[in-house]
Amino acid sequence: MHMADALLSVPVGVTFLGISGAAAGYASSKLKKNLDEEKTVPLMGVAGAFVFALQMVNFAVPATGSSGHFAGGFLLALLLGRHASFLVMSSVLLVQAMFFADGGLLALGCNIFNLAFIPSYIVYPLFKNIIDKNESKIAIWSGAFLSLVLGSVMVSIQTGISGVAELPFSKMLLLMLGIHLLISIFEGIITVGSYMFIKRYSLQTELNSETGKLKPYFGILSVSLIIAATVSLFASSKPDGLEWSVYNIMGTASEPHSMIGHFHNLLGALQDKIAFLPDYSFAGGSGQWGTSVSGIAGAVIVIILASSLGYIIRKANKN
Amino acid sequence: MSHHYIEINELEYTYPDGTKAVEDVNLYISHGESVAILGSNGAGKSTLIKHLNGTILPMKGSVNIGGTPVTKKTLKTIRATVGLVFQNTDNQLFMPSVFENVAFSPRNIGITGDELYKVVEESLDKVDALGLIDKHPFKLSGGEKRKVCIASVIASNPEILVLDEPTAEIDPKGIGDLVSILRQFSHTKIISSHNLKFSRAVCSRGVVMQDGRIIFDGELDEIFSSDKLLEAAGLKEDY
Amino acid sequence: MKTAQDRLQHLTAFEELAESTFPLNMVSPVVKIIVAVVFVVLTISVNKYDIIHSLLLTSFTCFLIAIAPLKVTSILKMLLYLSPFVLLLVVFNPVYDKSIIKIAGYQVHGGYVSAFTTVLKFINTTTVSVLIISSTKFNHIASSLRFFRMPKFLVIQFMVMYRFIFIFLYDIIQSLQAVKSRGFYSAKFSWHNMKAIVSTFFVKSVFRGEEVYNSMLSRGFEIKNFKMDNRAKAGDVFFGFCSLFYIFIMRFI
Repeated sequence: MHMADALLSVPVGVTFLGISGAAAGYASSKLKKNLDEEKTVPLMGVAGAFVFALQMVNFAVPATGSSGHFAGGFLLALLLGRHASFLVMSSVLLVQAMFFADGGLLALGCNIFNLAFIPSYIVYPLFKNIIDKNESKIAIWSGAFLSLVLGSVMVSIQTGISGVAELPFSKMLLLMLGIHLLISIFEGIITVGSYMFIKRYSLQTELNSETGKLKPYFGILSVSLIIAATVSLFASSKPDGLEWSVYNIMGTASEPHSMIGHFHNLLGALQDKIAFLPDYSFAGGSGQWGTSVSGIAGAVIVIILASSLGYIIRKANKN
Repeated sequence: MSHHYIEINELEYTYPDGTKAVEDVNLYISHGESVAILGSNGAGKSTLIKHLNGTILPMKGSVNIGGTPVTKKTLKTIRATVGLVFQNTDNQLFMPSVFENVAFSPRNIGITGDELYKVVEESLDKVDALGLIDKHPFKLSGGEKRKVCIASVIASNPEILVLDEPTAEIDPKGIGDLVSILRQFSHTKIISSHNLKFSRAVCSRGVVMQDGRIIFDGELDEIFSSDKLLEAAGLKEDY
Repeated sequence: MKTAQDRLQHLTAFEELAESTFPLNMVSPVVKIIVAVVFVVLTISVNKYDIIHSLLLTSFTCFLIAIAPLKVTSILKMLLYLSPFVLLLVVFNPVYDKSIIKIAGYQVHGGYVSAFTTVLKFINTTTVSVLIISSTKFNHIASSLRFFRMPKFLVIQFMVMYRFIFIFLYDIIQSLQAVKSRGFYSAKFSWHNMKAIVSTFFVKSVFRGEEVYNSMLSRGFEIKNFKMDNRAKAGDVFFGFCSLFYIFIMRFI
């Protein structure tokens, strides 16, 4: 699922844009070193278009009557290596965001993280060594399955800490996982089958230039972090040791009741320091001033004026 | 510059999987000639043709266009001089409208605005396809696609025109149209084909390839009066 | 779920729109992208109970709609198609957010207000970004990516991928038709077939891609040629400043 701008808060969006941007820079520099431009660039273009076109194919998910589509992030990592696959998936997401508004511009960072970063840099290193050694079908399946599941979890986390949708984190998580669990199972199966088939053509050895073992530490760390974040957001009703200590450090005005509320206080305090977007407040704020009738009426009038101005310019331009 | 000859010396090329596609090929084609490259499938015609604009670079030997050797560095000038129409039309019509496809090449030279329109219209006119200008390539027939491909290549005004199996996917009427179009062109023409009548109608000289080598280079008529050569060229209609 | 056919038509339509001569098409792409990004950030930053600022920012969206080539009906169609995910989540807002807010003397649940502003934000951010893209030629978009320091090989890859998308979408439509006729399916495939579809399509694509790329190269394709004149003209700077100024005012008034 692609994240939408409207469900995000600016700090979350910007943070993930930063992470994704940094990852893209890293991937580019790594790729540039061994770049055979003649071959790799068109190949990446092909891979991107391939993923894009493939995502249009719906298959029936048995027993639910609904349909899903193949995402392909992990398969791509297997075929192209993690740097190229990360960049390719990011390009696909960029096209989707720009031309189809499938995921907004601010949300692009989140989407790249969920659908490109996770399969390429977090999950792939965990399984690469096993897959290289004995092509374990279970390993391939697990990689694809895990990528999708983690992606869904991250969507929930990102939406949860943004605080725009009021749905409690637990319900949101259940919703996301519920929708994607069955699809993830099939993603895994399809990935295994496709990978085996494609390997027979021995194109794969040409494409994936990553030899040698990859250290899975980063992957393990990231997965642990995600699980930890999930668990703490989930069990958010009682303040625990961590919250109290941070509360004391920050000296916030109100006692945090929940992990989320606490997180918001943290960001709020940070934001005061930066003093940008002065009247931006997070969940829990209650701007009464945003709802006065005269204000609303005035805003509507402005809308009409602006539209008229645009229309006039358009007519003038035609002549 | 109008004296672009083609000189190929001891050309050799082997594919990564070991197939020797072209071996010891020597060929000289002077400006303005129309040469048909004949041979059965797998004889090396396509491979040879792809050398002419640097899509494939020689492993041994050399290819010279008007004195300029085909190397990685000279690709830009070579490609401005040699226009190559590949066999598969779908793979060459990658822009969403006929106009855009024909405009692709001149745009890359820097032609824009009104001049661009003129060039596109002229090119389409030369292949008798001006009416297709706004269509989507997906909706064209085989013959129409071929015409648009040719227009897309001549739009940048190359001196030498190379066509790989241009009659594939076209009906007899379409082939007739193609013949009249090609006859009007004053470019040097190199055409690989399976089609007897077509080759004779457009070219005067014939080169027969077999197993990667040239086994005959001379008048087209000679080929057609020799059963042995016809068979080697894969043109003997024996069924 | 949009089909490949829909996507193909959509992309083709966008290419045509970009060629038209509406006022927004005339503005430099770099300026447009900067304005869009600033707009999105400021729109999202509005407090979720703040109806006024959300509406004020909507005025900018309306202004853009008037000067952009995309028809209002098309915009509405797109929004409708994209809204389910957002709507699904915010429909629960009134359920979970029962804080009281006063509007015109009435007491309203905060949840309704935040749902409303979120939907507005969704409309604004989506519409503005779509308008910007639909009014810009693809080559210019690629060129502005370069301007924003995207590495050259990535931009080339992006351009190549974009071109391939048209072809591959068409290809997959054909392949699916073939699978359907031989598999006697009426609508969806079983996941069984997916393995075959994915793998053969991939191998085909690689070979196909190579050929298409060769023909692009043969016709002079080079990244250098797509460098556009990134010098800002007076009109662009004027538009940029006025827009940013207006957006900031709408946000902080």
